[in-house]
Amino acid sequence: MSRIETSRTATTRQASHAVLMGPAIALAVGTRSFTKKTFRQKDRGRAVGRRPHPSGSWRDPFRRLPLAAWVCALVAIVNAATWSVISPPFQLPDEPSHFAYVEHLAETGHLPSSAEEKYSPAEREALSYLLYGQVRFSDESHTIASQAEQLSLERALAVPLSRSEPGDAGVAAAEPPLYYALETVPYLLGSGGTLLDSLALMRLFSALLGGLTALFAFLFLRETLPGAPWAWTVGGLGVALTPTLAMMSGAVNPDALLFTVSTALFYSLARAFRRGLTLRSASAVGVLIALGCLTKLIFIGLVPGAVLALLILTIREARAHGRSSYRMLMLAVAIASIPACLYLIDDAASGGVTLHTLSGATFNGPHRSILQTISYIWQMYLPRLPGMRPAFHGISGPAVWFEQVVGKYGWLDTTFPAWVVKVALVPAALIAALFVWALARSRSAMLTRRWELTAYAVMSLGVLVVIGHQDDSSSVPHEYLQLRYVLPMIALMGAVLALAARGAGRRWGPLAGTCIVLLVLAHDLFSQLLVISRYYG
Amino acid sequence: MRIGLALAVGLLLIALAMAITLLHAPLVVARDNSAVTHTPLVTTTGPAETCQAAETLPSGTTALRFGLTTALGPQVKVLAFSDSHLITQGLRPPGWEGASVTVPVRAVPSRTSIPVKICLRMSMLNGAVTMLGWHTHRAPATGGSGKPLPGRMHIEYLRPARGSWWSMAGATARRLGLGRPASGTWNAFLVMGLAVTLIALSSWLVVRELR
Repeated sequence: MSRIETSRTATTRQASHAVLMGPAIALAVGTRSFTKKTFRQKDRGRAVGRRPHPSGSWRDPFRRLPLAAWVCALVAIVNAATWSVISPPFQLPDEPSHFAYVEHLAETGHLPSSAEEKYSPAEREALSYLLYGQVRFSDESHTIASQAEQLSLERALAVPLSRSEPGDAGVAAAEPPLYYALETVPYLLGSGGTLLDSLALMRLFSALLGGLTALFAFLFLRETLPGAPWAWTVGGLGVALTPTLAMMSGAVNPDALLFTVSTALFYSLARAFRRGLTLRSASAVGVLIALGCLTKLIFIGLVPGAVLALLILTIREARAHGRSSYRMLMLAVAIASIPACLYLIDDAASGGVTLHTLSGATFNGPHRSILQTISYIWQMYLPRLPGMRPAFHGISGPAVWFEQVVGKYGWLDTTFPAWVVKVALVPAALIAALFVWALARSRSAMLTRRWELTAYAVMSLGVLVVIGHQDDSSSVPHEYLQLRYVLPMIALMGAVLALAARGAGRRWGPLAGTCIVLLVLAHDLFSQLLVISRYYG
Repeated sequence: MRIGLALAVGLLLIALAMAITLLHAPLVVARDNSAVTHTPLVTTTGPAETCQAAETLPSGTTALRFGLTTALGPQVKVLAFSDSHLITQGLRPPGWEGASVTVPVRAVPSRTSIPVKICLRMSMLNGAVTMLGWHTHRAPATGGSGKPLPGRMHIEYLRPARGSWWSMAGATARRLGLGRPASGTWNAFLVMGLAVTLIALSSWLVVRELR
């Protein structure tokens, strides 16, 4: 650990800073590109903004976004903020590790040097007085429950202990730095108070990212389902009220930014498919791929599909406007790859925590054959076929995922009673039936958009394969079967809900949409109640 | 009008379901067989059965909680015997996760049973399962597959509390306010306020866009 730490020279530190600044600039450029393109859209139904004559102010683009999109974003922020309050400090997946990463980065300007879990004295003290170890995974244990314990905690937090050493960040150490670099801002804003002040502000920052995720999901629906503005709201609210999204967006976890960037990528591709690939939209896709790669390693799963989408768009554009279109593809690929390459070079020069993790995930698995790996990944998502060796016993992969959808919160140790899972099958089956019916009714439209749908399918498949491969390589079987890992595709989940509502037909569609929103709202509220009863009951 | 009505009925149903849920009594620990910190006793990757004698089964018990750690839990069957007479049993299907598993059992009759032998059968394992408990020298250890384990497993006996969740609302709100940067019961009111905002915003948008 110290060996790696001391190997970080001043040169690599500067490189780290350069890498960290790059995405921030890229984000600014990307956002400009997005907003300019987005807001040139013609008004579309009631949901679209009502200011046809921009005054030239910088605020015009924001005014032109549909009000419904803003409200969906606001709902997602409020929802994530609620979850950030009801979830006890550090009782969310890997939060101590992610907090340690930000803490070390903010205090020293260095990336973490080790994947061990020896956190800073200040964090260790807080974890100890919050009974973190006793509460985690043990639903018989509640958080601190007396005023005396609260006073002890406050006294412990008031002691000025070191926050900079030793530089361990547990499972977070291998992750790229973008999210953590952004989180240093709320961390430092709260650094005048206690460690819990910083944590609360950092969680709220994640909540803002949750709002952006819902916003991009809404805009994705606007591009993919242009004929039914009311359905955008169903899908947008469906995303904003999803409990797992809110839980993770109410936590200190790079998943929050991963969801935002992934959803923005789906949106930008949908936009390019609908309006054609331009230099700006190609750059935007490139920037988003770069941001995603600098956010969380699992984003790699989306990249092949996104590149395929760019390729399809370029070929389509080349047919209409000649071979110069290939320059846009090259530009996007260049923008996408440069920051990721810089980060990997920096990582290699300073100990290679990320590279070690990547190579470990790739080569240190249980040494199964490729067919066994394929069989395992298949069974994670689909029923086992004859001849496959069982990867699950007494339960199937799809059943595990469905239980995840119904709800696993906190450190995934907080679940509804088994009967709830059975009852949930009814509305899930109804939504699935409406969705299939909607697809069947729009066969011809799907056929004309087959390449776009293929690109989304490859993006989703990429993420599923990465999760499956990680799980197959893991020393703890099935630890990657977590709903949050598939939430980079939450824009598609919004589309499923919107299409399900449309499946009910023109007359009953809005009513079905209302029922779907009510269902997701009820799911969210009961999930919150479950978490409150688990930790404070 | 139709959307507004559907929304109103839906929200009313949610409120009703919440009220009914809160009328239920939470499960509380009627008896815990130890007060010590629990450590891993034994790890298994295959089906296993262990029995632990000299336990006390409180009356009214409706669930037993065991310290078992795994990523994707196996099927767990629990049987409670007094001499050779089966008092109660229960089953938890596979798929749970965490460091403990709660197995619902048929409600135990009104009399506390002593001594009782608790048997735990694990099948359909999806990975290693570690049993938590405490190492023991004098007390009888858990018997597993014919040979004794190095200690006794941790068991909690659960039964419904006397009061409902409603009656515990005040205490729950107070606890929710602890362990935070600005502690106090106001945190509970903040949560309620945020939830109301969430419902109001969503409802308003649905009525506006779907009508």
